[in-house]
Amino acid sequence: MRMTSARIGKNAAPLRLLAILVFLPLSATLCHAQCFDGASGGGVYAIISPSHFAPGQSYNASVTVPSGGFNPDTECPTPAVLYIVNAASYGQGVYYQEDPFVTVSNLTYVSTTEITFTVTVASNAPTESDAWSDISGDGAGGAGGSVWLVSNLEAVSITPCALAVTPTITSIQPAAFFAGESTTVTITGTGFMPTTNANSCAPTTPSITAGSENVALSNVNVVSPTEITLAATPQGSDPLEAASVTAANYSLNGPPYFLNSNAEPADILPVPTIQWNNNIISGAKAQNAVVGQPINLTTTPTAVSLAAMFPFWQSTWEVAGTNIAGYTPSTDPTVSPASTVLTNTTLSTYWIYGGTGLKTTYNYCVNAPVLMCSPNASATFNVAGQGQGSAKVSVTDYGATKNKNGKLNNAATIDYLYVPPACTSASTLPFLDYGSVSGPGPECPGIPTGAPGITFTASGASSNGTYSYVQTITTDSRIYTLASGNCTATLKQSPALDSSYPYEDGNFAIDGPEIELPLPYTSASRNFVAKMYLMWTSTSVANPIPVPLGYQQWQFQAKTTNPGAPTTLSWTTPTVQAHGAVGTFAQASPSSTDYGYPTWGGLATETGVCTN
Amino acid sequence: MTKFVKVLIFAILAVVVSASGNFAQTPSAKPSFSLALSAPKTEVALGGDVWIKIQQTNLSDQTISCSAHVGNGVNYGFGYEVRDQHGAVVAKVVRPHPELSASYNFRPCDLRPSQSKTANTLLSRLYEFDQPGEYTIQVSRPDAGNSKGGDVKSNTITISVLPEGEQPSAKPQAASH
Repeated sequence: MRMTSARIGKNAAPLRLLAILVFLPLSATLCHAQCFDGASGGGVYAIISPSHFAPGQSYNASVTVPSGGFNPDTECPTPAVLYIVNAASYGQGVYYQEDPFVTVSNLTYVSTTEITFTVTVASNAPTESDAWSDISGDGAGGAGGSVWLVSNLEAVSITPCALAVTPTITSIQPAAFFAGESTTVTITGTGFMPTTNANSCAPTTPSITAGSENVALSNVNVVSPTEITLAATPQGSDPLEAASVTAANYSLNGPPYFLNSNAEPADILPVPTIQWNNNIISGAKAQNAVVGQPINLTTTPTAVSLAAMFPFWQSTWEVAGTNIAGYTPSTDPTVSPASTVLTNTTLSTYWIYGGTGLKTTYNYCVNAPVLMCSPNASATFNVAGQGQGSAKVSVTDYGATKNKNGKLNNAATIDYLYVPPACTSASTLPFLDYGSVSGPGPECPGIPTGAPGITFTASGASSNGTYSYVQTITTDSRIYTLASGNCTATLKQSPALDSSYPYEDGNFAIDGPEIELPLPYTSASRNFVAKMYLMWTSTSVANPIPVPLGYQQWQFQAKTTNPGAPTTLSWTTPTVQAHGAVGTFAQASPSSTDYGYPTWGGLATETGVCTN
Repeated sequence: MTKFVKVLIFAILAVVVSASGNFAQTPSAKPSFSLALSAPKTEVALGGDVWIKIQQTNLSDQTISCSAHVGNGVNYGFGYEVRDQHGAVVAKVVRPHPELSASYNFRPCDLRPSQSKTANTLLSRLYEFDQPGEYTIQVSRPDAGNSKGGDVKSNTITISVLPEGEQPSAKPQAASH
């Protein structure tokens, strides 16, 4: 602080402390000697440092002059004395009266340009404004030293603001801020100067930096010496990057003029984006897809980058429309379509029903250390249904077709098929067939021929795909009666998968339940109920899964008797209780069980038991 | 040219023509379809299910039949040959009431040229895999589209039935030799 004597008295307003530093030789015995013999009075620049003193504090201070003038003690007539003079004394021209709240001690000659001393301010010292002056007496003693070093006004002050406190930050909540978003942050620590304080000291100044960016701060409020609140708004284009939070107190006795806290780490979190096929689709126009198409979406920031900065994070998707993670059936039990996983940074899903404006949103949350969740990234899909709701199967029932005589066929026939050992017409066994079959039976090589009991023909779906069928059996029971007792065979589980998955590829599916009719049974019947599911698989996209179009339930129930039992095979024309479609084609819908996909408890197998 | 030379040339030509004619009339040995056999699991616990997968592919330029009787996981359109590790034919499962254990459905089926169809068969329903050891399996089907007739045979695969108490390894398995 440099001030000249020219300003003495200029700002000596009432209630202000005129801190006047007086450097006075107390002895007058050596009138020729003096403690300071340099230039004095106006025009001399001297520096006192520090120049701001806080009540209750002691300071090691110094006065320096640009050119020599201080003399060692040996040349001082008496031990030199320094006075800090308050404004009132100064105004009265009394420069050798110590401020009653100030004690100056340990006055030490350092060099011809510097003296040092200790300033102790009483803890009850009032807040006074700036002024200082120093004077070197020439040994006249008491008041009236003739050699002035320099006098300055309003360059010394006694104020609590002079406390040199370096703030510390102990925590930040949250310690992450979303790019382009305003995040309210609470900084906890010590040594903060509140925004509102009794002495109007400069409040603590927080700052957040990320690389070369000074993050925009608003609503900064130093609530207390231990808490700062503010709103941080990083630039919207910021990537995932580290940030640093600091707080600084202004120092009246600088340099340095700012006492910086420790730097507390934080993170800038980018607003997420959604990509599909390496294109950002969040915020873009609606994307086109088809049912069954694999939809594999990625996001930023990636899981790898999040994991590198946060021990915990979580992702959340919301996907409109009916969607699944996949459908990978086998003959094993239970093939319910898997639900879409909505907690990864990536999304793999299939829409299985069409819809427009299907919104997909994504956000992520990090522990920072409170849970911080990003704004949503949003993408929209228009998913073409490709025939769901209009596709169907038509059923051709053998019992509903006419024979060459123009009469309806009996739905069930007794057919004699080749059986071992000859596997020729010389060795046959009757079978009760839904439809009509000839040629080798099940245990003989060769190719059976004939008319099946029921044929399903698909139509109505888009030609940009193919049909497939899956059949589940609900009921399959066979009852053979004997002269005493009977034998029955029933499904081990229901529904059960018929044959394999899929039952058939293509537009058509065919079936014809049959049972062999051996001796010694007197009657035989079969009750068969199944659901034939129609599926559709896109051929316009890669790696699609089939989507359900619906199912047609159907049945076959017939009975025949063998009057020649137990010795002769003479099975009668079957009596058919039921055959063909049951009801109409049941369109699959999102509300259907398992979204309309067929499910089963395992491959259709049966157990038999006889009571006789 | 002497008469002898003319006769000699005629004789040589006759032999050549005859030979080429015989060659042209040899029936094609090409089967009308192929059978590719595989197994989803090549290690099976004793008493466990033995599944095989048969892919029939139409190699001809005509539509061929893949019709069969099917039921209870078995496609009866194929002949099955199962041998144990000593080469002995494995016995078929004998059930007191086969009519109760086998549910049949007649399944007409066509295969267009180059089209394939896969059939799964639960072979342990038909054959006894009741001893630990290795079993070799081959399937066949009559070839009605082949001028020479006969059966088309698949490749042979091996299934290991583990000793009692042992379970198959967790690693994925697939056999197609």
